[in-house]
Amino acid sequence: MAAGATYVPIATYTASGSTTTITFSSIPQTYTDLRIISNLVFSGQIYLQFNGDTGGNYSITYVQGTGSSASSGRTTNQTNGMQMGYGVSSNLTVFTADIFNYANTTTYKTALSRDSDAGGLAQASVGLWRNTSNITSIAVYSPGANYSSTSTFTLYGIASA
Amino acid sequence: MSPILGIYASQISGHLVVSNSYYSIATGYGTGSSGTITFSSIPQTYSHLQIRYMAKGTSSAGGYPTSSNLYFNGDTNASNHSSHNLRGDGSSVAGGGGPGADAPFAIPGSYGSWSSSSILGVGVIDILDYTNTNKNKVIRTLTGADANGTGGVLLMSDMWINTSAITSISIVADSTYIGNWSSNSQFALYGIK
Repeated sequence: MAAGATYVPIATYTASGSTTTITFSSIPQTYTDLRIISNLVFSGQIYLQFNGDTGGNYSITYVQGTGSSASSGRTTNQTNGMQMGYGVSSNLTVFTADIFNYANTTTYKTALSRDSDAGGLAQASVGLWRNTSNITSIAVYSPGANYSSTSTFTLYGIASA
Repeated sequence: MSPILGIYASQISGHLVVSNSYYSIATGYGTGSSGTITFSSIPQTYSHLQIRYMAKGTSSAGGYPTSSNLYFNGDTNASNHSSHNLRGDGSSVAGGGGPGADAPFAIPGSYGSWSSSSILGVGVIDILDYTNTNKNKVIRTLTGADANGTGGVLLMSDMWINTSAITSISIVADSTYIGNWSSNSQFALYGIK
C-alpha cells in the first residue's frame, strides 16, 4: 500500500441489548493492521475470536490494576478466543484492540489490547492465535452477558507504506 | 460459540471515509543481518508520530523480556533518557526504570518457545509533539509477546532530554538477546496531524 492517509473505518456496530456477540465479517485484506475501538456496557469477559475458530488455539498474558492491587496472569489453549478484557455492568468500559499483520499467511496472529473500566480495573493484554491463516472475520464475544444498547464497536484498517 | 449477530463490511455504506489525519510515512523491514531500523528525514508536518511493529530477533541467547533502544537524531547517550515501565510476565507484575534507563520493548529473540518464526512480538509506540523545540520529548509504548505459556506485556514512558525536533529515529536491537531483526520483522511509521 502506498504511503498516504489511512486509519479507515471499515464497519461500525451498535449493540441491540440482546446480543453477546458482534461479528465483523468479510474484512478487506488490503490493510496492514486492524484496530477495534469499543465503548461498551456489560458484565463479563471480552473474547476476540478469529475466523470462527474454537479449537483451543488462543492464549494471552495480561497485567492489570484494580485500584488496590496489581497482578499479571495468563491463560493458554483457550477455545472461546483471546480473553482480552473485562467489563462491569454499571460502568462504561473503553476497550481497544490492535491486531497486527492480519492478512499475512506465514505467522501466527498477535494482538494487543487496553481495557479501561473506571469502576473496575485497567488492563493491558497480549494475545496469540496459533494459526497462520489470514483473518477474515472477528467476533467480539462476551459469553453469558449481553452488550447493552449503548455499546458501540468500530473496526478500523491501518495500511503501512 | 456461534455469533448470533453480525455485520458485513461489504454492506456498510456511507462510512468508508479515509481519515485525513493519520498518514503512513514509511516502513522498515528486518533483513536478518542487521539489528537497526532507521527512519530518517522524517517530515516535520505532523503533530505526533506512531510506530507500529511486529518483530523478533535472531538471537538464541535467551532471556525475556528482552530490550532494545529507541534513539532520536543519532543520540545514543543513555543518560539523555529517563524511562519508567510497568510489566507483567504472566505470574508477577513489576515496575522499573529511572534516569538513564533503557527503553524496553517486549520483543522476543529466537530461543525456546520463541524459536518458531511464526511467533513475533508486537507494539505501538507514540512519540508526542516531535517537532516542538521548546520541550523535551516524551514517548509511550504498549508492547507484548505471547507464546502460549510464556510471554509478557509492558507499558512504558520514556523522556528524551532534548528539545530538538526529531528528524530521525533508530530502533536498535539489544545485541545479546535480540541480535538482528528477523526477516519477517516490520516497523511502520505513521504521522498524526
